[in-house]
Amino acid sequence: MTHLDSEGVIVSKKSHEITLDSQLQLSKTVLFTTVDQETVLLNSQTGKYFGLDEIGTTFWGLLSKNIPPRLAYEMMLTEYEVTPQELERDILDLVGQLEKHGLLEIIQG
Amino acid sequence: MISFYLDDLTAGYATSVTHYRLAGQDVCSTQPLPELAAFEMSEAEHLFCQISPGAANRLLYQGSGWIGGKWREIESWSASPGFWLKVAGASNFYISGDGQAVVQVINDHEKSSKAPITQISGINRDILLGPALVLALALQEIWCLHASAVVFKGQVIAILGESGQGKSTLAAYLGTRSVQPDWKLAADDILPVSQDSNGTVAWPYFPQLKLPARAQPSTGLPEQLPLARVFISTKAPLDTPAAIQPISPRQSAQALIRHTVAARLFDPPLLQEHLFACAAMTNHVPVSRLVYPHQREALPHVQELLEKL
Repeated sequence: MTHLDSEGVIVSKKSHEITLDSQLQLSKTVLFTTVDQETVLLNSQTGKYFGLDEIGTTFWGLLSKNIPPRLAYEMMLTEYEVTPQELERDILDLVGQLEKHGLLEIIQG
Repeated sequence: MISFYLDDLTAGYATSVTHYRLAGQDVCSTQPLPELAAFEMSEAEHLFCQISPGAANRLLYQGSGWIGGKWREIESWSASPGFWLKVAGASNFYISGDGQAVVQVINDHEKSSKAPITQISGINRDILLGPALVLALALQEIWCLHASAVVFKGQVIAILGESGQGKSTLAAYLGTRSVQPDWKLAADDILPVSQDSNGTVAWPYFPQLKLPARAQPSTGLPEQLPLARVFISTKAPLDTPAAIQPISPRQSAQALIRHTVAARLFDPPLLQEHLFACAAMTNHVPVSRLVYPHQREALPHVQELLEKL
C-alpha cells in the first residue's frame, strides 16, 4: 500500500525509531489541501509537493486534529479491511516518509 | 492594473505611459515594449509614479531559470511587502505586494555605463515580461500555466507538458485556421487562468515570447474564455491509438501545480493561495492525460478524439 506520491526522492530509511506511541506534530512549514478524499501537501521550505491517497489522507486528517498515532491506528482498523500488522507497518512507513520530507515532526520517539 | 516603472521612483514624478491590456489587466509601462505591440491600447493619461520598494529580507529561491534564451542564475527575495527578483547580468526587479507595480532598479554596474539608460534592454524586457509579470499576476490570483492552448466551440482546451512533449506541435496543428476552421490557437507556451464565480477562466491576451509580436495567437479572440479541459500531453509508442486517460483530482491538482510558471519564486502565503487555487480548479475543469504517438500522422486522430468529447 503506497500512501505518499512525491515528486522528490522518497527515502525509506528512518532516522528515528518510530512507533505508534511516538508523539507527532505537523511541521510548521507544511501547507495542505484535500481534494476529493485525497490530499496535496507542500513543504513551503523546500517547495516540494506530495500527494496522499485516501488512506494516507485519513491518517493525516486525524493527526491534524491532534489525535495520537495509536488512537488513529485503532480508529482506522475499524474502518478499513486490513490486518493490524499491515496497517501498523503502513502507518509507520508513511510517518517515516512524511518525517523525511519535513512534513511531520517527531517530538518524542 | 499593473504598472511597469524604470528605476527607483521614491521621489515621485508624473510621466506618460504606454497602455496595454494583458491577462484581463490594464498594464501601463513608462517604456514602450515592442513585444507587447499586439496588446497596445490607446495612449494612457500621465501617471504619477511613486513607489517605495521594501528591503529584501529573506531569500525564497536561488537557482537557475531559462530567461532570455539561456539559463541564468535567479534569486527571489521576499521584501516588506513584495518581492525582489535578482537575475545575474541584469537589473533587479521589485514587485509590490499587491502585484500592481513592477519596478526595474538599475544596478551599479549598469549605472557606470556612460550612456543614460532610457530603454529597457533585451534581457531586462525578458525578465519584466517573464518572471516579474508572472509574479505580479500571481499576486492578483491569476496563475500562468506552462501550456499551449486552443479554442474549440468557444471554450479553451489547455495542453500541459514539459518542453519537447509535443504540446506546441499539437496546438499549432489544431489551431491552424485554414486547415481547422472550428479551432483557433490561443497560446503557444503560457496561458494565464483564474477562478471566478462561474468556474475557471482563461486569459489568452498574453505575450507568447517564442512568437513574433505580429503573430500573437490571441489576436481576434475574446479577452476571456471559459477553460473547459486540461490535458497532459503524454508520449505513446509509435502507431498506438490516441487515448484519453483520466487521473484523480489529487493528481489533477498536482499537475496544475507542477505546470504553473515561476511557482518556485513564490513566498509561503502565495504558495498557499496557489495550492488552494489549483485544488479548486479541479472542481470545475477535468484534467486528463492525452496519450498519443508524437508523430504527424497521429494528430488527425487526436483531433477526432477531442471533437467527440
